[in-house]
Amino acid sequence: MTKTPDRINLAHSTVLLVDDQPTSLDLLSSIVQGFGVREQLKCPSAKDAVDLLQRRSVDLILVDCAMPEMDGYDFVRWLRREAVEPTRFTPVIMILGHAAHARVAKGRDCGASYIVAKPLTPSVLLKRIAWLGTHPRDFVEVETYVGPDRRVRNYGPPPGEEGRRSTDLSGELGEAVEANMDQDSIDMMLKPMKVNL
Amino acid sequence: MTVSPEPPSEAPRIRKIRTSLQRQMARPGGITIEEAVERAEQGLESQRDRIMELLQAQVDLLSSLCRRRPARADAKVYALGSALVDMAGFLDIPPFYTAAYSLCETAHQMTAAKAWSWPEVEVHAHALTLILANDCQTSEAIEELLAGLRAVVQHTHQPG
Repeated sequence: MTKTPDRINLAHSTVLLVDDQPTSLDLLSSIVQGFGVREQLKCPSAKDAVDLLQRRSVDLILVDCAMPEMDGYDFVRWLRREAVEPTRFTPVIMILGHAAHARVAKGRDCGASYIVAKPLTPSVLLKRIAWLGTHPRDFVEVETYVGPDRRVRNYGPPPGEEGRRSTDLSGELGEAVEANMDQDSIDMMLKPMKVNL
Repeated sequence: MTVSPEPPSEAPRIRKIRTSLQRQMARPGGITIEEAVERAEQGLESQRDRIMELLQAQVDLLSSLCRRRPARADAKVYALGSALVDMAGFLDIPPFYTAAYSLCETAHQMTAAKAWSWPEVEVHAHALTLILANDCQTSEAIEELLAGLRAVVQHTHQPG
């Protein structure tokens, strides 16, 4: 696994922003502009985004989860299952406002590449974009799920990076934190013992 | 009893994909991560005053709803709270964000439990007003206020 680079090149990329809240769309647009993207397209609804993606492709999608009519989850499900190739492989970062645990799981299971909960800082968002650009993930298609491999949690964040979750694994092997167990202790742990029931 | 055989489950199809984003980001050039973050933060900062005005307007609307206490306002209150979280989530204003998030939690739980109670919403409207008046700065008094909101959320979360 390669380390996250210290430079980012979005000068050739088109990013699609989808959010029904005009203010949030403006703020997201400010962030993305700061990252130096070549072109950004803004859609005030998921339905508009579907129309747009049927006509042209983009390189990255940032979508809010909560929208009327078609929400972010349904949009990503449509993208992964019904959009044509290569549009259906487009990386998606889903942004959550009031993020209950169930919504994070729903975002992961609909096929989003990453889920970022607010408060959203440019630094956190940029890291996810950098990971998408440098750490390829397999694309999985089964009856119940279509999208990037969800087992990213098993591998942890890239080397040198800290995850946001307390349970995130490290991508690196560090120094041992305690002395090796001696064989007697190991045998004791594995030895069948009589217990009173 | 006859058991019909289960249809064969489809084997997963796993493909290695190199996205256009990966191809483009691999090209030479670009800017440093620090520069990109700094430019994005400057972009947000340039909109800060406008966003603070919008937050104030939304909190005023919430306070007005609390005074009128209309029937079936649960969705409206949740939508207001959610809009506050959405906007505040872009700015570095942790006390306001925490209070707005707490409002969403409270509204969500009361709606789910079909036990709507305006005083819980009023407490949040007052807290949000005070935090804004305090320029969204953290202080001991604000911490106590937020602790009070946490207690409200816990209270609404209790079954029965």
